[in-house]
Amino acid sequence: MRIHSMRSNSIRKFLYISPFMVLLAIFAYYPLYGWVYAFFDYMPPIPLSQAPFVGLRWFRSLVENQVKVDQLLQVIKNTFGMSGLSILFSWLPMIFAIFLTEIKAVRFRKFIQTVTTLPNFISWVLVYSLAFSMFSSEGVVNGFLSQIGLIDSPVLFLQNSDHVWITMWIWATWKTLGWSAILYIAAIMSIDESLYEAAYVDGATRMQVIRHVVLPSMLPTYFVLLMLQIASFLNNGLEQYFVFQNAFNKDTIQVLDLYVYNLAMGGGSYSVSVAISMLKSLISVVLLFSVNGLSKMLRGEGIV
Amino acid sequence: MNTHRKLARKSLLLFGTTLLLGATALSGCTGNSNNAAGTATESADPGAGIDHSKPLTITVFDNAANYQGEQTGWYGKLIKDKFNITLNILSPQVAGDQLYKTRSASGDLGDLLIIDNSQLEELIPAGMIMDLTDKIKNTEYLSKYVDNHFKPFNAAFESINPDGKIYALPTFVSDTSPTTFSEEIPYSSPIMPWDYYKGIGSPKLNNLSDLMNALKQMQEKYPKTPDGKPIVPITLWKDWDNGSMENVRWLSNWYGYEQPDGTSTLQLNAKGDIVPLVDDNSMYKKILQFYYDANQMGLVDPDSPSQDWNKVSEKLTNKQVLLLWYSWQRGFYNTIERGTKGDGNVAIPIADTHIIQNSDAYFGNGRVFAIGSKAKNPDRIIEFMDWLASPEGLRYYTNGFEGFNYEKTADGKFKLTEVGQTAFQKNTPVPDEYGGGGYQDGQSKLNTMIMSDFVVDPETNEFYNNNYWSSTIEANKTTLTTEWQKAYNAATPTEYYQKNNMIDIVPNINTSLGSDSSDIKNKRSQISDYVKNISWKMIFAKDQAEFDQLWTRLKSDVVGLGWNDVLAVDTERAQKIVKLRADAVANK
Repeated sequence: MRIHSMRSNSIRKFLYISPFMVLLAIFAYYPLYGWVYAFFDYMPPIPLSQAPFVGLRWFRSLVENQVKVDQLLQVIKNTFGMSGLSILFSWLPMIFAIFLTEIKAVRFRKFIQTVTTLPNFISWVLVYSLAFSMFSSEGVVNGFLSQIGLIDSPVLFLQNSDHVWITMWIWATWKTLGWSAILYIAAIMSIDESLYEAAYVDGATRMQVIRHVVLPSMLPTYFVLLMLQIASFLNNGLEQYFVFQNAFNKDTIQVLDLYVYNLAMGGGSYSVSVAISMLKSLISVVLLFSVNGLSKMLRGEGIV
Repeated sequence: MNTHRKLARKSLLLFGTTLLLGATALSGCTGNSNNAAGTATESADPGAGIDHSKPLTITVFDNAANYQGEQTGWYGKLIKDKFNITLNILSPQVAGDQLYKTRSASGDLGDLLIIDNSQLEELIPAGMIMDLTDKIKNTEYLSKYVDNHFKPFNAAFESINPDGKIYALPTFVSDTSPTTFSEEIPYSSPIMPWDYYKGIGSPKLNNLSDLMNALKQMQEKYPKTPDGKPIVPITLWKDWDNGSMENVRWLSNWYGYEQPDGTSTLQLNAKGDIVPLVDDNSMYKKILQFYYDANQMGLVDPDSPSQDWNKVSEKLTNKQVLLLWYSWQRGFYNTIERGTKGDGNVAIPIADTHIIQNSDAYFGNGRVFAIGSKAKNPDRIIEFMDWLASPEGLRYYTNGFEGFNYEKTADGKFKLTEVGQTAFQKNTPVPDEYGGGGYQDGQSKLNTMIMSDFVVDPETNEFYNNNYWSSTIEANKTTLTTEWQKAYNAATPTEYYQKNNMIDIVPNINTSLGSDSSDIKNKRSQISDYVKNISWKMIFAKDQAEFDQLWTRLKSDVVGLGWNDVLAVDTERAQKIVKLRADAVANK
């Protein structure tokens, strides 16, 4: 009797979560079926069922000669470089949020927050046209510099092949800083008031409060976000790099996603792009587990 | 993406030509515009025996369209009244290239298909194209073009069409001859602002270095436009780059080398010589060198690598650019009004050039009309297509309404009305009886036709293209044209080049060149990417040493990317073109 009720109880509980399991299966596991395309010579409109099986040919073609290997390595280097930069500075939104909440003048704070959040809603294409009108040879910046007599001929900011990673990071930060700070601001709001009060009673200065109360309470949020960011380490998107790419910065701007796009979608071969994106998934899984391990080591608890 | 750009380019091109056409039409022709409803929509009765009582919506998959949705406006009303047909247009230019892939993978692309030759090549074996052989026979107008145009076109797809059936009708077919070139100026030739060129004393240009010196002089004399915008002698843009750098490709044509569509690794001349792009003596390299030298002289727009076509068209509209090459680029600035002041862009021949020019599209221009194998009412679609190729259908498509856009003159020719001259640019409201709305908004959104406007209208014995009506040519005699004609002792640039033996007109070949295997597709895409990238770097190289070093690197690296395989495929295609050209000339 007791066993029976336990069982019906667990079935009921299973039913509670089953809708989510179904969703997960549909949206997370079913797409994995698409990986089979990597093993066929698929060319629409010939359906997959009639496409010849080619085994690992597309994987081999990625590394079949030195030029391609060099290209792939450069692309991976760019991906790691730019993702690495943004992870290296991933604490920036957190610090920004802390300082923002420290601003006591409400109007000014709201103003700063709005101004920094707004760029997040501008598409990259528009950001580029903004960049173009500012930094092209006829742009505002060159106009200004030549008017005050600093330069004779225009500086070609957009064609510059130096410091591409850093400029890209600056653009991305400008665009997302305010938006990413929102979660941290929410986290700060939820810190127990009594902690502050206790700190002030103990005579803590403002910086000490930040250091010993605010910062520690934000670390869990930070680590969760960091992990999410690392899991999508290789997915640093392509819109930004797509709009900013040109012949001169291509070597340093081409990240994996853009490479897949330029290579496979440009040429219309799905199979190769699937092959590359499979490799991407593998690397991501490895990275995810290593961060989880790191978290276990540092904080004594895993995230997953 | 690449095809998308190509499509966009083609539509821009069409738009450009139309602009030009409209601009030329801005004439002093002051005919009393006669708005009386002359030939209304019911002038010809649709084919007997077909039931039009049920409304029919045709799904049109249209590569040429840059509009997606239902055809509305006056053209929509016209075909609704005439055939009880509504066109629902799907445009990959609007919706993206995936539209073709997803729809074709699902097995039904649409009812009426306007697709590229290479797509036709994929779709016939997949059983997605209807055989039209018998249906075409019974048509009134299309049947006339079967033997000379449609049959040879379809027969060329021999590997997938062994029985010589008619699956598709090529687009923009002209009815002149395979070796005639009817346009007044080659597609690519040196074009410069006439007033500036005169301003530096009209120096004779013997070669590209003379050209650069002339550009330099012009730039020094005219550094800014009247409203203070800097003048850039040469401006380049990257968004149309496909197999190689497009700006280099079309200047190669000046010296007799073209890169045929469907290839990306070689150039071909009128004699049939095939030269790989990366050959040390290729025209591609010589043009790269020209751009490099020009850049060293400060003639190349520094924004070239980072700007897009929209930016360039802005500069063209502002007359900021000194060297143009596409024939339709003139239309961005030239108008009749400016022409009367001798202001505008005109052809300035360079003595050592020898242009290669494709003839009128006697066999069509790379796209086809076809019917999907799952289309429900093929007979009604054929009937509609037949009308598209009829005099009435062509006049509506190219010129609008008689009495509104154009009128008959005393000698039985057509002449644009005052409204008609600007109806396209001004989007003039169309009278309600024709369906209302703006004229341009209501034009056919199919944006392509089976027979082109270089077909002679039996009623006037002139082309449908109103740019070539005698009334338009008469109205277009501005100071600019007469000065030019006097200076060069020729009526048109084409005539000048022909007189001086500076042009080779080669038959325009429109045929199946075979589609790439996915292996070649991959290699081609990687190579193209690499070639384009290095080409841009070479033009903007710091010194000749860097230029040479990049070239050496290009030559060796592309081999690693599979150059020889792609070149072999392209060579085969080029040889096919050479052979077909020889045949076309022989059959003339």
